[in-house]
Amino acid sequence: MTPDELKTTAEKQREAVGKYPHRVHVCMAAGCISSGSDKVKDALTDELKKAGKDKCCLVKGVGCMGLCSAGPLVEVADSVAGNSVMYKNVTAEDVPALVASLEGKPVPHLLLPKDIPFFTAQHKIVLENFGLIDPDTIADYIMMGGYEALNKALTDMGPAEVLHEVTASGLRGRGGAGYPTGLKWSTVAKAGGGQKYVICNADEGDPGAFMDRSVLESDPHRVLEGMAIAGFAVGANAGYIYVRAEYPLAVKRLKNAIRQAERSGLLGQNIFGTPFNFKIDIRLGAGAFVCGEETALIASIEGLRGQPRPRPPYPAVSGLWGCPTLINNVETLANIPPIIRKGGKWFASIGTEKSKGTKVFALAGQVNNTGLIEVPMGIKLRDIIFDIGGGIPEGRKFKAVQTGGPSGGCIPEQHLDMPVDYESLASVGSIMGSGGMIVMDESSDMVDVAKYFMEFCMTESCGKCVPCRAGTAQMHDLLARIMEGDATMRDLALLEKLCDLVKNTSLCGLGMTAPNPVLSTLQYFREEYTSRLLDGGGNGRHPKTAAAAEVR
Amino acid sequence: MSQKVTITIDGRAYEVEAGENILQICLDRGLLIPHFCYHEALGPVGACRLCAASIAPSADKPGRLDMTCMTRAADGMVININDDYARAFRKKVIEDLMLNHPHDCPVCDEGGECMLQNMTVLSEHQHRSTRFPKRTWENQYLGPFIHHEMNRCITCYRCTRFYGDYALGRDLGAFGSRNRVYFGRVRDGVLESEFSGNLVDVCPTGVFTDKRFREVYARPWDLSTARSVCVHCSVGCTVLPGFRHGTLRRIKPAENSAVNRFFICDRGRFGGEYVNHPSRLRSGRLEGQVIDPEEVADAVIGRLKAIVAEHGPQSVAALGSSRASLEANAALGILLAALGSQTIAFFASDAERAAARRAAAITVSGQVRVASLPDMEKADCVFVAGGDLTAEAAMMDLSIRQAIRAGAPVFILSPRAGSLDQYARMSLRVRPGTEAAMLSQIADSSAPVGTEAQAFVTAARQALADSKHPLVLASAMRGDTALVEAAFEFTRRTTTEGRVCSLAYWFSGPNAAGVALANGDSPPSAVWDGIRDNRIKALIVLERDLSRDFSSENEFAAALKNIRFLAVIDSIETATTTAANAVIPCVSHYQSSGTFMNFEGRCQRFAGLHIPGPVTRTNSELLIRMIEALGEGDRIAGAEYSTAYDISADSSLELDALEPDHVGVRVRLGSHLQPPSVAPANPPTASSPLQFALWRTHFLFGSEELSMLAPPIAELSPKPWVEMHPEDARHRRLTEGATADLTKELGVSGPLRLNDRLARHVVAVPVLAVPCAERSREREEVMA
Repeated sequence: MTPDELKTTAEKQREAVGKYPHRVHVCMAAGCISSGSDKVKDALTDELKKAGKDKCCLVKGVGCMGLCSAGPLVEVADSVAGNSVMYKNVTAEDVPALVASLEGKPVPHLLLPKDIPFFTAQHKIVLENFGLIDPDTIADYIMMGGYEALNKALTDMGPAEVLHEVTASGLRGRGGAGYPTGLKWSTVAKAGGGQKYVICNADEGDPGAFMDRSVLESDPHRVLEGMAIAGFAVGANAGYIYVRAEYPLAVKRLKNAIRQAERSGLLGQNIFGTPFNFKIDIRLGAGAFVCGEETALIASIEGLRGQPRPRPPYPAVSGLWGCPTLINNVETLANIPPIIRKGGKWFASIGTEKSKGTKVFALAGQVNNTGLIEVPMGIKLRDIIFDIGGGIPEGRKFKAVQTGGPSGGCIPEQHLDMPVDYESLASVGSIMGSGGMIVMDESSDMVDVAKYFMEFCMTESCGKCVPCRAGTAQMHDLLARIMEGDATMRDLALLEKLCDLVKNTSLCGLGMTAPNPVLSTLQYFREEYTSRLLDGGGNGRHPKTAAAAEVR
Repeated sequence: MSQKVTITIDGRAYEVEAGENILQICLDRGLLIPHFCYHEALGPVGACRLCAASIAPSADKPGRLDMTCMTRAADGMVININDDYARAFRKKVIEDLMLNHPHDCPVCDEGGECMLQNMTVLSEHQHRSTRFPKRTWENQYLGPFIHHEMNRCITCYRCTRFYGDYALGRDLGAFGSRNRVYFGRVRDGVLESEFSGNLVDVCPTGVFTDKRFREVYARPWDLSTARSVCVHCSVGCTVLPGFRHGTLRRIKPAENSAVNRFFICDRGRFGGEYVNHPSRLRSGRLEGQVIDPEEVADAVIGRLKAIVAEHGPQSVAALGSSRASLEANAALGILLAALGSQTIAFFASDAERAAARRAAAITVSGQVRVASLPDMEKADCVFVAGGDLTAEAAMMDLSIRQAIRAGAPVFILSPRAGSLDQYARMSLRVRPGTEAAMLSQIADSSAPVGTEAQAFVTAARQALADSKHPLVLASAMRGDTALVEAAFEFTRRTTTEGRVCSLAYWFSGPNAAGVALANGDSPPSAVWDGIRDNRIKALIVLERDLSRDFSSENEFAAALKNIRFLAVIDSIETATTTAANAVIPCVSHYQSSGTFMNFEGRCQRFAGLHIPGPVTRTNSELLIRMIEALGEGDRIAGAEYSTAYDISADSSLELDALEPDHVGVRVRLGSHLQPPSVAPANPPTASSPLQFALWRTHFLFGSEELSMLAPPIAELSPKPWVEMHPEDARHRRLTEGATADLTKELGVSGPLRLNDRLARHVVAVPVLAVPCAERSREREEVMA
């Protein structure tokens, strides 16, 4: 494909879509499909045909619309009037009413107002095409400006300029650690010539996190484009997407997207007529959490046991098959095309001083609006939970919010007015993480929460280094004992000692961060621990502990 | 080049190489840091987290807890092993390692040499602060060598790192994850690796233990040990046999930085049990009469003197051995000289002698670079010709595997695929005797290439052109002098500017290179022709089973028919001792001292242990006693004994100064010495390509006579069979399992096995060293 053909494709697609006076977008991401959106879409197609309106109304399956708790979501746009309405909890039975309403009044009982903070308070960069394009149609992506950034990078800019823009944007790794992306790219670019690789880390493993899955399901080309730009900037000609096999829909859409991009010449040899070649392969992970750790991920791609190795050497110097390798998270790569299109300066104008741009969160737990959101860095946690999230259901009291999955911590009420950025979250004992955000209300038992995450870490420990392997098992057993009311102060002291040991001496990030849920709950909710101890400060207050104490 | 830097460890300054591993620096200097996963040969992985110390980049910077095994020395570095936090940390780590370890030390087979125990004490851990049930496992059957006890596992990954990463074995792995990692096979079964015994040493605790040792267990500190050299092939690994109550209990490798470094093969480790075999000679015999060994020796001298008096000195001949020491063979030569005869031979055939002598001469000539085992690991392109390296010189194979790990391509020229072939870049199956021609074709890029070998030769030439340190390994044990010459020629031709090719031959026995350099020996045909023509009436044999030199028992019996007096000195009962008029028993190799010369011309001294028993004399002692009985004791004390070989004519080589704990001395002939002259050997009888050629296949377990007396080795030895390529079998209308009777063509028959990794028009049979006792039992069964 030449740059001109790219433009023509975009125009043609705009025309093809624009000729319909009405467009119906049905969410076809995993969440809505699980509540029956595929049936809704089929019913819509049939019903329109029956009503003879299939020539004036386009039915399109689109990516995630965000408010998963209200799915299946359907958006009906009127090109003539230039407005659109959104419907929630749509079922196949509602379809005749929807079709009937096309030229009339919206269906009131399904209506989802679009002016609620859930929609208005978001700032969409990564998710900009969500709900608008069909992820299985490359032309839809191109229509929205897709592959323009790759074109710009390849034909108007050089690798150095791309690196400069990415560095200027201040983008930091969205996988959780927040390493400056520009710096990482420069290291790989500087590494000696020869074979280099780009790896997209799509091994999203945090419980309750589904940002990467949604991006791959709803806008796969964005990730491919980001990878190709990265490959161009660092001098790599091949890329791998390491995605977990538990994401069959994402894998299917990725495969389709790669095939389409290859057929259109947007991946492969001499992209846009330049000497740049880039190919992308998919590697499926078998669902080991630790394979999200970059060195374990590389071992897994190489066909070895998915276990991390000590760094240095970092993958940027010696990665896949010993070659310099750039590993970026899905969301990081998805940010690249807009940065190249609009410039690093534009991106740097969003967010806080040290954390630029936006962050996608998977909002879950005891909150009214669960779903996928994208907010500017620096937004207050309170705004996310109470405005966008719509607060706690049934008027219960907020207790804590957990960010960063099993590597993160629980943030209590007193820190809710803190801005969301890498440093602030770390200062209160949590981490940004990949974007899981679980809201807990007063009914949550914090020791149980800590135990839940510890069980996850224990089960997912690869078994290589001692602190993580043996430490997580001991910590889990201690937490279980505390839960059962069978522990003493000595056990709590041992738990704290283990936290220190595992945190400071584990080989990889999994072990180093595994104690975080325990540490943060101990910091803010220590009383919940001590009240359960046989000889704790609140001896006997916990009913179970009291009973146990009596027996002894 | 390497640069010296100064680092400070616990307040003392040390000068070390920049970039050296801190843990190794400390261990080398006696500064003990507890460690587990680090092993000098396997390298660091940073998994056990035990070797932590406080490390600061310079004196003015604060120290930070880091793994010493993962840290490289840099100038000004300050290391505090005894830092309080580091000590507390190590204590906690060892506690975690011990979390699931059953404290079964009183009954554990590892007791006394348990690395876990040592490291626990070193780390000052005493109390277990957790109170949870320990996890338990089921054990697996791993074959006759290794016992499995998974409950003791502390998950250090040393076993898989050795077995899989280092020795390239594929059937032992880590299963599962988290706090439940299992080390074993997919299902019960004999471990496939030829180096599995090393698991016993690399495992820091008692998960993998020596199955034979634990059967009649002794505490390691109760064993009598002395550094010795392995007797089962020409590599000459340094080993540590351990005796207790008159029996050999086990063999462990001893560190030898110049030869086997840390490991040995399973034949070397488990073959030593021959020492305890019931067929060991425990008394002397003279014409069927059981008498004291020394009395036999004296009687033999009397008989020999009588024969010399009657028939002249030339009526006595001797056959030396490649499994006896230089000293014993020299003493045999002196005994013969004292009787007035010179007819002494060392090899099975004239061809084997010619090839071995030429190879040994090249090895010590100094004209080409001869590779030691550590050298082989550094080769960047390897050519193996003329046999199955794994079966015939296993530790060379392990070194080649290290070269493979570093990316070296391996090309193999042999009639039948062996264990190394699975890792080779390419293998070419050739007719026996054509390896030399193929090797020459690779070296000479202008030589025309036949169509069959086109791909192989092209690839090999390309790899050779890309290499800086190629290596050629060729067999010198099959009497193929042309191959020996071709390998030498290859090495010389491919050593050019910017490329040094090195060479190594492997031989038929632990001292074959040594006896090949003997001065003034005779071709074996001289002995056998003399016997046939009634010129030679008496034969003295040292540690050799002559029946193995003949293709059938009838031939062997016919060859011995004319001998009037056969005297044999040996430690085991063989077909030869059974046929002998006089049997003089000596102690086993591991009870003898002496010197062996290995494949690279390295002389290694070994020490013997005096073990109480009915037989206490070594072969040398008995021979010297016999020389003294002739009144010729002066010959031993004088120069003649030590100059029995050309090798000691080099005055710089002080063999007498060799100590058993030395790495050995490599012999180099000075320019004033000509390599031993070799009469041109008869070229292998050219057979038409359509005729079947016979390939006697050597096996690591089964082909060597001493190790076959060890029960676990015998258990793994192959049964007799006849192998053919499936295509050849089809032409002959033979199917797997049918009886292939090739008695007329090749003198072999047996149940047929099909092997598509065998050269076409070649019939393979295993070389089986069936113990004498078993053979006579079989014979009796047949007769009954």
